[in-house]
Amino acid sequence: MQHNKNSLLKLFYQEASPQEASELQKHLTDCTECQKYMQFLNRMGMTLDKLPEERPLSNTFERIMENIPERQPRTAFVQPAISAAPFFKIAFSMGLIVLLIYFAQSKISLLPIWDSLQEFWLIDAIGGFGFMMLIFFTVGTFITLSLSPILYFDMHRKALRL
Amino acid sequence: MEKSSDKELMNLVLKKNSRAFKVLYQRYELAIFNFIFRYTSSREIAQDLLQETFTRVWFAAHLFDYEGGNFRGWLYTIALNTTRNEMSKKRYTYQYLDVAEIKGKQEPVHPETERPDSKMENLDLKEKIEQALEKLKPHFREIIVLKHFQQLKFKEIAEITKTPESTLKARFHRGIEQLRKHLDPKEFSDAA
Repeated sequence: MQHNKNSLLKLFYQEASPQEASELQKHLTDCTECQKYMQFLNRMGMTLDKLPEERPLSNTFERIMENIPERQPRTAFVQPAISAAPFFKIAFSMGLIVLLIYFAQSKISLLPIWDSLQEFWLIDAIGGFGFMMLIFFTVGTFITLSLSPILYFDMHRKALRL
Repeated sequence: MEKSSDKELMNLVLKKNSRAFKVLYQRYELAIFNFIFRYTSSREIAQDLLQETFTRVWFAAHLFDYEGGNFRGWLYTIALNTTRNEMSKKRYTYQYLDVAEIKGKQEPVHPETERPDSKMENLDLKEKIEQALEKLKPHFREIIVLKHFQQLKFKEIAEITKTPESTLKARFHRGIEQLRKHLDPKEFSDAA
């Protein structure tokens, strides 16, 4: 049997199965190295056992109960499913991009795309600029709603962490 | 109620039953207090953290796994995390207590446990062991306290500390080697 300190540890703390214990005991009768290690564990154990058990103050429980009403339980900040802040951030950023494109469209060649878009009935109704705002508004809302459940569960989990 | 299992008591604690909570507290106060005390080497800190641990149990009763959870392991996890958090926050430095300080500060809370005539000798040994434990790195001290003093199984300790069993056993061996050096090399020189 190989020298295995982990097995000796199991034997010392009486966690070995009866078969394991029996094999280890047989091994110990022949192996001086393992005998020394068991003696060391025994001596160390006896030394540590000399440390007396300490007791807390006798009124500890009463102190706990006294403090409990004063201490507010940590409640989770519940992130609303639809959060206004990211929605406005995304919509604002998109709006800025739209404005940039609108004022730069004379300098960049968007005409081919504009021509095909002109045929779409919504363009007639709200104009090209309005149409682009609508697209970005929809995309922004979609992104916000997709992210919100993740944010909600994350905030809830963090607030209750011990 | 005293004969109820931990889970049964926790079910009552969930409904804010303070009697059940008291039974649970009395069942585990010594074990948790001694665990924290051996870890921190300070009665004052251990007292505070014992209260903090059970306060958290009260407020977090709804987070206990009533289906397959082990209350003892859960409680030790809370105690360990509470202790680790406090120690890292406040960065306690360990101070060696000399005998005079121990004599001055000792509180005979339970007269039946007063030490016999060889008080000085016992104090010296107690001080030696405590100092030796203090000198250990936290993860060595943790495993030795949980394994030897709290008598938890390696499997339980692995769940509490979220560390593989093999790592814990290796730490235990290294920890007691370190302890041997700090205690009295001569006493252990012919062993291991």
